[in-house]
Amino acid sequence: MTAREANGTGRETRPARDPGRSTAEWVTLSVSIAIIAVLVGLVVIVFIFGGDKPATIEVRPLLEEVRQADGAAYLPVEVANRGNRTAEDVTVQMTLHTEAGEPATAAFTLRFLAGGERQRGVVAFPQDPRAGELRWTLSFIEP
Amino acid sequence: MERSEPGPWQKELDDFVRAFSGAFLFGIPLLFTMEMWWLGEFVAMWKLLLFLLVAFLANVHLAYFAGFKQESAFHTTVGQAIDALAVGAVTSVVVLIVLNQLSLADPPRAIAGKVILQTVPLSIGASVANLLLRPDESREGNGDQPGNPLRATLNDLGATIAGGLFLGFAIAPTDEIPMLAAEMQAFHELAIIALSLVLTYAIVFESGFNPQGAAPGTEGPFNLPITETVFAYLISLTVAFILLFLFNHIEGGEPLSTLLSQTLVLALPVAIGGAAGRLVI
Repeated sequence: MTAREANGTGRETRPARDPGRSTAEWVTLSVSIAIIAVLVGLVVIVFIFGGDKPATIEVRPLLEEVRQADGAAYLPVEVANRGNRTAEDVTVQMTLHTEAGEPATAAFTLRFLAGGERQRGVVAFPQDPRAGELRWTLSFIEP
Repeated sequence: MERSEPGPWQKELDDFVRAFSGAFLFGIPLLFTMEMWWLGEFVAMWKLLLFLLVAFLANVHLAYFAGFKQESAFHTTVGQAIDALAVGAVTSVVVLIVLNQLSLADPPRAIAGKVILQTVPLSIGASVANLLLRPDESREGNGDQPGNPLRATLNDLGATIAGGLFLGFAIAPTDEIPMLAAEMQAFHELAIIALSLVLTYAIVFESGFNPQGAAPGTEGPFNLPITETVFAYLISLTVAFILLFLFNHIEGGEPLSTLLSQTLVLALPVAIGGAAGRLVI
């Protein structure tokens, strides 16, 4: 019997004797299963081996990449999370102490920093940071 | 004249184009939601597995009643649900990379979180593809009168604008647009142009949602597939630009690069909305 009838959604049902999947359908289903398996495997691996260490933030001023423009010195700062948990609202405040004048302060905030992730921020000072002493403070939230 | 029955590979390709089209139509607003990207950074791994399980069960149910394959016995429903999940995952990866919200260098936890969270709504969109934009055999040539190319062109023009506004209005006022635009580089901008053109072409001409095409004698400049796609994209860019101006995201005196980036970013959902508009109107 090969009667076909439309159901309420306007879709046709297969004939009563289903010829089975075509080669194309088997290939695409195999690829789909592989994709989902990769996703699930990634989650399982991270779950088992990813660890749960609290966020540990490392701040590294890249003094070798300082550039001067319009009377200011721009200093890239690399921020890395050595822990496993994500840190939220990571605020880095850099203070430059030089022999002449008051200390200069600049800060930036990273919205999220996942475990193992590193990002860059840039701070700008009126003096070359390589000519003074840099100190920094750090704050963040663990969601 | 009847169309010849497509071969199994062509049929499978048509089914998946339909699925990807449904995924984009349903999931594009959430792809442009920053909270979804952020949640992916810290959601617990066991919750991600639960998300996948819930999505799978929902897709099994949806595939049985409204799947993207036009013929489906019950025993193929599970396979179709797996296909829908895979479509959602691939769509998620591609769009997040184009929007510069995902990189293969990101930590595995962040990759898994961002991709799986977006996979849920995108896979549902793939599963309901046939319901979202069902082929309508009663509409011959979009209802155009034979020999009236101007009317057909104006109809498509209006539909593109209306559909683009429908999706664009939900995304244009948000902060995601300037945020995305600020983070995009030249590669991402070129990729988003290509993605916009390919997607709109696929939705309108390859997904099978509108198999009738233009009625004989109504072929105007808007009805040749590639011409229509490009022209519709130009309209989408214009609509996107106007929306950004109205919602104060761009003002006079802004750098050209800023205007261009924001317009290209918003033009993606506007173009998809325009493509959907040309199918339903």
